[in-house]
Amino acid sequence: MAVLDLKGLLKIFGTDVRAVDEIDLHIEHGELISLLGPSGCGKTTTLRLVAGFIEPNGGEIIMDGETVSNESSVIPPERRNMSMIFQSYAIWPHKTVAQNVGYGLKFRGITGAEADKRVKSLLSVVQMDHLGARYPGELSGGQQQRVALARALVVEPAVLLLDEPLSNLDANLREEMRFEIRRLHDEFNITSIYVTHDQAEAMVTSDRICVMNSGKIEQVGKPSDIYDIPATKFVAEFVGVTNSIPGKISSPELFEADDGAKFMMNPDGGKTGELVSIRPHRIQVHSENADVGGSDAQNVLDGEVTRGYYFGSTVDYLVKVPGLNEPLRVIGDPHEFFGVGSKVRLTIEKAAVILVSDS
Amino acid sequence: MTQDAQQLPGTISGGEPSATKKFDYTIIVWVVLLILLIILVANPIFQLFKESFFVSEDEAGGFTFQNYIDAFETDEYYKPMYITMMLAVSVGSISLVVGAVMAWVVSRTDIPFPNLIRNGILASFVTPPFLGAIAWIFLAGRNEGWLNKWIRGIFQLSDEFYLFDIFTMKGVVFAMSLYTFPLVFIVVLAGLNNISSDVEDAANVAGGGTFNTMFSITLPLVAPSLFAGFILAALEAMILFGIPAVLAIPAGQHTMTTQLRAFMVSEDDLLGLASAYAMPMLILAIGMVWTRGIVLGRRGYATVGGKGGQRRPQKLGVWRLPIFVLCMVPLVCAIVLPSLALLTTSFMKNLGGGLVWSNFTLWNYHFILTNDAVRESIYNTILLAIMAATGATIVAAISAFISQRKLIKGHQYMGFMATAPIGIPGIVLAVGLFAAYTKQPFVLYGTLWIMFLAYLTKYLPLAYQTANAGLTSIHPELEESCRIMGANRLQVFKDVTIPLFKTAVIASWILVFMPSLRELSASVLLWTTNTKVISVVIVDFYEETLLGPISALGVLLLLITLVAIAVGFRVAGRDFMRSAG
Repeated sequence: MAVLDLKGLLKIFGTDVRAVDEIDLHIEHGELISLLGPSGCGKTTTLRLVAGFIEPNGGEIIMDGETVSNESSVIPPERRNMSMIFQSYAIWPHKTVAQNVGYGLKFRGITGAEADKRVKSLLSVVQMDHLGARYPGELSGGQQQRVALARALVVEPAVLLLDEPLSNLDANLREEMRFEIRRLHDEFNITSIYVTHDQAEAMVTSDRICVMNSGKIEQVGKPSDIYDIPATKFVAEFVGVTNSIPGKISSPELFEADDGAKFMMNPDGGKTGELVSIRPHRIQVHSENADVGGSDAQNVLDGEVTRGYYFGSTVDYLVKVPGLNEPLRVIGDPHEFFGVGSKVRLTIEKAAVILVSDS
Repeated sequence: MTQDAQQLPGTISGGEPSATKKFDYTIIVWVVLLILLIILVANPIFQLFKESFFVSEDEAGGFTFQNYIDAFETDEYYKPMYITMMLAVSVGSISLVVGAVMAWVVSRTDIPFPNLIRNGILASFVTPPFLGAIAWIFLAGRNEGWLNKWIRGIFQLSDEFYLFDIFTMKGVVFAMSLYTFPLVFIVVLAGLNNISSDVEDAANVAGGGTFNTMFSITLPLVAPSLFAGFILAALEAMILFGIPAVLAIPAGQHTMTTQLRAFMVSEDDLLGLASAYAMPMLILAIGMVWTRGIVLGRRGYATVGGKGGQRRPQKLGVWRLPIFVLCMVPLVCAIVLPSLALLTTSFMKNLGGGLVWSNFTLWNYHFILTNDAVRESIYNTILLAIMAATGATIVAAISAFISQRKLIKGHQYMGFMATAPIGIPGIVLAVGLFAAYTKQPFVLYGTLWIMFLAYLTKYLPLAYQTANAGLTSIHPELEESCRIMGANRLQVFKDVTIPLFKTAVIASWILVFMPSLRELSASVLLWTTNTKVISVVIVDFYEETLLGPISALGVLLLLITLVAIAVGFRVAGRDFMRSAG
């Protein structure tokens, strides 16, 4: 186990592409943190900086109090006691499954019967014990992924790095392997960094999520915090769907949209910002003139349905509301369906209205 | 805290990236490669240019256009250019039709044994063109040719009658086409296989019939491949030396390559004239390679195979067998008949003596294996082929590795440098090497080294493309995963890179070794008494009409080649010849 600290980490490609733009991040013992963001946001570069494959142009990476990377010196990957799972699995095609898994042990002075024992035990952890003598070419994608996991874990690394490990798997397998990765993390408790662009993957596997955009960190927090109280418009829109309403704070806890509508806000949300974010499923739909009870805890708006798609478990509406330029997206309960043109009353809990900044 | 982490403080300054900052080894790599490129390409071409503007006999004469005037004014020198152009266009067109039709048949129809046809066409690279031409003299010579005799025998015709005469320009076109149509076949087959059959199915669904689909969809899509194939075949016809030397000169005709050689072996010093004469060939050849690159786009060289998924082959119906037989004709003419003819002749006392016991002899083999000059040429050939294959493979493997792994600054130019000689015709390169390395301070003429340089330059692009294709299939993450598991760069190289790269390296070695065994167009200008190679001896013997020993040498050459191919198949897998195209 290890504690990792990234301080002012900077990586410039070419002359002026700031792929990783002076980020700070602290990762605890045994924590699994995911770097989430669109392609090109710098997450993979950050991971490769931590692994030691590339050198930073500024800042430093500190592992258990020792600097392992800074501008002038970089400890090579093989001396960091880390493991990495690659997007392509990177299983060596000329070695058997057992040889693949056992490869790293010889560099840690573990050979012979002890090495065999560890390889066997790890293969059984990933449910591959019967396939040790196979060559990778004879395995399915999911099995290769399990070999990669076993190979990374058998050396009991201080840090485990995962670079979009599930992106080459088909949808069903991907879902299964998400839980598998979390299960293995709970079993081995290794400090881990997980790079992904898939928010669901990040939610399921991580203790904390670090959302990145254009080389910078947008927000770091528990999955529920990231989802419920996003700090920026980017986070709100990247992690799930949302309604972003531009406007300004007119009085504490009251937000006035550019076109006049007013919202009471969640006091735990951001204190400054130019927009509010409202998740579509946090908006309740009622029939016209429904008695929703007057309360300080919820916003009430009247509007007209301009679109309603029935999905079985939900209904996806667009509702035009006076005082808002854009219609509101609303995910409603399907037991009561409102057709296009219906007048409806919407209620939004105060807690669901989050002030976010535009940057 | 782990043990490794505790070792960290002492190792920080030893980190590799910082080590590279202290000593920038990229400079060494660049200097070495640049020197190599200057020796192999830049200097010979520069000397060629320089010589073309000086009158050779008159050292004090200085700069002149006289060579160009001589080369392009005289009818005698102008005619070979015309003949060469005619040859290039005819051979290119015939190859285009034969190669493209066969590619379509193999790729899109239910022809029986498509793999036999495909592999047979690949195998026609095995016979050197000059040997094929000589074999065709035995088969289709006007008086003694077996095919003519056979027809006379069947139809009881007089000795005056002949059906085939290989010593004509038609004969030259025929013999050349046999060895150039495979180039079209390979490029067009790759083009066809890269077109998803969904595209054709879509046209069928939209109401287009088989032929409508072929003309309005398939043909336009493979048009770049067709054009590239034509260019390749025409270029080959233009720069071939062996076939015109064997067939055209007896017919009283010169092509540009044979005329170039005539200048070089002339009693007078005609180096300046030869250099000027080589210019249009050089410019045309480079222009053609360049055009082909543009037309094919980034798929600069094509591989047989490719994707495309399931196909619905066109039904040939009753034409299935006749078309199969028709497809076998070029293969029989290119491989089966010539090999049989050489093999038979090599055991004959007298070429016209027929297949009878009294005509059987081992003398031809005895002669070539006991004659000192021949034995030395066999030794030289094998030595040179090994040197060229090893040299080209080492340079190719290193530059491909640097290029793919982006190891040094400017890695993106590595591929361009290694493939720079691709457009230079062998015989033009030889004139350049002769101009560059016959005078002080670099006298290489008369040694095997100058031939080594020629072979190395000529085959470096092929070796590079093979090595590069092999490396492309090794994902960098395979090496990085090894690194993070605890291996240093050297161990990664030993445990992952070499085992995975080995096959491509062996394939590239064999792909250079094979053509080096029979290289003629450069050797024929660069040999001296002590540095003869088998191909040069064969041309020598041909001029002395020692046809029996030629056949024996030819059989020996084919045997060595076959052994190399067998080793290649065994070590590098059955597809190692793919990049030969």
